[in-house]
Amino acid sequence: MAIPLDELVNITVLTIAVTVGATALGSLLGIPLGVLLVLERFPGRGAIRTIVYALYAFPPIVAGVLLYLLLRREGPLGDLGLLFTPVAILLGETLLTTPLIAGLTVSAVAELPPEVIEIVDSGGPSLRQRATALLREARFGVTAAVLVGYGRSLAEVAAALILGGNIRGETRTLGTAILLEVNQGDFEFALALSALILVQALFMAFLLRRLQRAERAFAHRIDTSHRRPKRPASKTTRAEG
Amino acid sequence: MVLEGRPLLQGVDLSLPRSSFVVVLGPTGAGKTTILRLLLGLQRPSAGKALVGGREWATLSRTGRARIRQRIGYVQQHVGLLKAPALYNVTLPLRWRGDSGEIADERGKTAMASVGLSGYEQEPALSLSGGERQRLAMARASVTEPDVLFLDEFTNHQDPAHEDLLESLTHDFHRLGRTIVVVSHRLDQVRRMATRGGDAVQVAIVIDGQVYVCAWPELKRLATEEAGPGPFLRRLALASGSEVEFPSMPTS
Repeated sequence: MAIPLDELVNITVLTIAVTVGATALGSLLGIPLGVLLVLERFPGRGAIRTIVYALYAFPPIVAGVLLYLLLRREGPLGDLGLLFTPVAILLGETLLTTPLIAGLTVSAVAELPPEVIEIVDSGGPSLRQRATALLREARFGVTAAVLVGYGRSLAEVAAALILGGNIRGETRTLGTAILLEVNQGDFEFALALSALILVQALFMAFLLRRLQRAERAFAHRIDTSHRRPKRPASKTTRAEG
Repeated sequence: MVLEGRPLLQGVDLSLPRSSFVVVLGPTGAGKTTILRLLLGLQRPSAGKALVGGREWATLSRTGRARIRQRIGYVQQHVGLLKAPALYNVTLPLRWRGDSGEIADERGKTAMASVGLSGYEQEPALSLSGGERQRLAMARASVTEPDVLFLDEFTNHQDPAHEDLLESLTHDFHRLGRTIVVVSHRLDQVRRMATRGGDAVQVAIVIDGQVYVCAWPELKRLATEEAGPGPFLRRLALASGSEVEFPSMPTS
């Protein structure tokens, strides 16, 4: 069976849009939440941290059902008419990516050397300056968190199916389309769609590798730069005052 | 103050008047760094109070704490540096208080030059040697021209020339009316600082959770006593070889 190109393009574009959107929203919510959970002391911090870690393994189907109950016509947000729209899928994927990005941000910032956190704190920064300085230090870990969040959202099926309904031309994503084609026995199309997901996954892996290499190159530069051939002579003597 | 269930500092009453120069001396693990962290409000006492300007750290707002810390320069024993060029590390406190990038860079270069690091501005800070890192930390601590300098074993990795440079800088700051607190475990350094700083230099000996404050001549007398810091001071004097000798030292 020939693959309808326009439908393939539509599905791919929607999938990328939803995944990028969910990753962006998940980052906007998850990164500040992660930073707050590491750097600030407030009542309930431990409980929130536990919940965030627990939601690492938040089953997508449960997230889908919970959001479905909120968005269905009789639900508290039913008047918004979001169910079976790309926005509903976006919300579902955001629910899944946010705790993952927040939790990995917690790990990235918490693993900074204590003397670095101490010297930042001792300089008297504002909350924003402090968070910016430490996030900059933990940038490799935080970027990896964002990429992992993207990966979680990319091939998600259950929440997308419940919240989007797999409507052709409207809410069909790569994941839900593959499920449908397998059910219908159209393995050729299912394989083509799977290849598109794999390409994106490979692209993510490529970005992660680049990130690791950049970090290693940075570390290598640090390790070897004391052997720099030319370095300005320092003034080592000083008249005693 | 308790650390991992072990009492670290007990009944410590230490005040730092404006423009004072205190050298905190004590064996490894005695709680010298903890005193600095308490004074900076980076650590809360398990009992008692840590006051700054008459107010308890814990009662200050975030802004209040930040304002005070912006007036304190701190060189850590284990220097923490950001993964960034050396100049960026030095100028960050200036940027935080609102200086423009141009002014901050200018001041940062001057501060780096004062510790013999001219030309290292764009080097990754983490690529510097241990001694260079300490001097970079000194540049960062002094770049804001703070009222107070806390220096925790700040010459550990220096050759004699750079050690002299950093100690001279410290005395220069004190002559400008700044309050200086130096943590050291070396008697020869305490003697040098006391010789240069004269009567203004007080020595606070931290040992067995207690703090004994005295001037250098008094320290010589304490070293002859059998109780308190006496045995520790004699051990230090022996370790320093011929550099420091106390008169009438009992043989032990």
